[in-house]
Amino acid sequence: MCGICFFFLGLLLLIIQTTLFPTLPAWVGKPDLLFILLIFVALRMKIFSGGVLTLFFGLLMDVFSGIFLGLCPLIYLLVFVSIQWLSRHLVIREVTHQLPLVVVAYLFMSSGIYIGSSIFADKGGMMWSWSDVLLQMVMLAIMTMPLFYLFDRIKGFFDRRGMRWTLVGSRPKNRFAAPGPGERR
Amino acid sequence: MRKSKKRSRQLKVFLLFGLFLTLILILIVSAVGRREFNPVHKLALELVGSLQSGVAKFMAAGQGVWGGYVALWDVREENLRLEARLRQAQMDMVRYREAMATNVTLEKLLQLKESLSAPSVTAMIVGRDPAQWFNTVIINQGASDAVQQGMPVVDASGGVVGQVRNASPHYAKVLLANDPNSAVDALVQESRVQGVIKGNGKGFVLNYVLKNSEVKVGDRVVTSGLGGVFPKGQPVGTVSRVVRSQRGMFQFIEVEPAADFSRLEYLVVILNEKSLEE
Repeated sequence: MCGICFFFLGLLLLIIQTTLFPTLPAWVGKPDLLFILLIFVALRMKIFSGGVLTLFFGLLMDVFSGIFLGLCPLIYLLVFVSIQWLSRHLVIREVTHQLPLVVVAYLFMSSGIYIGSSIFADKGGMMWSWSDVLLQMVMLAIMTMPLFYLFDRIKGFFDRRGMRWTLVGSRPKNRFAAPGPGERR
Repeated sequence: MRKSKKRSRQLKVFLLFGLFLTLILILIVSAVGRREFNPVHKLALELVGSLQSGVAKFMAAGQGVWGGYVALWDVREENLRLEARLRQAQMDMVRYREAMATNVTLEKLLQLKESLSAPSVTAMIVGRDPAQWFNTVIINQGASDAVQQGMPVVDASGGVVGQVRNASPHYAKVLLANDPNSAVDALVQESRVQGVIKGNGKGFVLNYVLKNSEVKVGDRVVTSGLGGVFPKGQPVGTVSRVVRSQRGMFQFIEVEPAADFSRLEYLVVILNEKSLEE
């Protein structure tokens, strides 16, 4: 349920990015909100559900951005696996300390897209602009904390509710049954 | 002794009362038939008049304050009403201006469609590329409207905008000509020198023009028709900078696009006969 909610949230963020953000002044850049959600998914969700979600995000991004199909899912999955691995070995879990992680991951993704499009392009390829990349990194750094807070609240809501699908999943235990040996009522 | 004192006092009261009554009677009798105030009348009038005046002034002041207060309520209401009407008028004006601008654009598009020899379809931009690396847009016409991959796209003035990259039944993705991955065969209209227009993210660069070719700032660049994508003669832009470095065979030529990529709203996709038959 949480995964579906995050998928639709990602879709909403992408729609905002493609329709609303281009009308903003140039100095705002094009803040990649979907990328922040991707990092959140990689940090907080389990590998299977998070991986599937990342793949869908990559496919969505492929539809709306760029010209080389398959490049976005590949790069997104690479970022996801790297962040998952890092999050398992990272002792610090505060959001403030995860800001550099988001920024560095964005740099990694940009490099991946640049290299990928240079390989796939017949001629020309992408143009690297440090000023655009730095602006984007600053915007991501500014937006990461409030968005992480929002995503955490949404995830917390689903974790607490813990909706149970008894029709398709295992049934809950009988609450009125007598406790077994060593069990407490 | 006591009785005689009491009697004399009663007598005095009677006398005083009689005197007062007599004076009043004289006053009444003397006033009957006269048309002017006597001193008593005047005195009474002065006293009561000044009281009346005070009360009247007080009332007038009270009425003024009350009237002003009530009027203030009316003014406030009227102010709110006028503000609402002003807002409505401003919204109407924006709507009319927008309608007028759309009308002008559509008129241009209609003229362009009539001037084009090939069939075409008008589309609106519904989304832009979310990433900073690519310059693509999503338009609201797709394969069901005969839009197919590779078809040329121009703006209302006929300026080259890009090519259709992918199409779904109702939408299509257009790679803008200012993207570094785009390439369009073009020629300089004055000198007929041919080259390839490529995007540099913001504008165009005319590539593969030999150093001995005559190209100068202000020359117009149009599509050459080679490659079979764009029809010949579509405006591409104007030469804005020419650099002839000592090294290399070619000139470096920057071209200012004819289409304003920051203000694109409606686009025209130039169809081909084959796609219409399908």
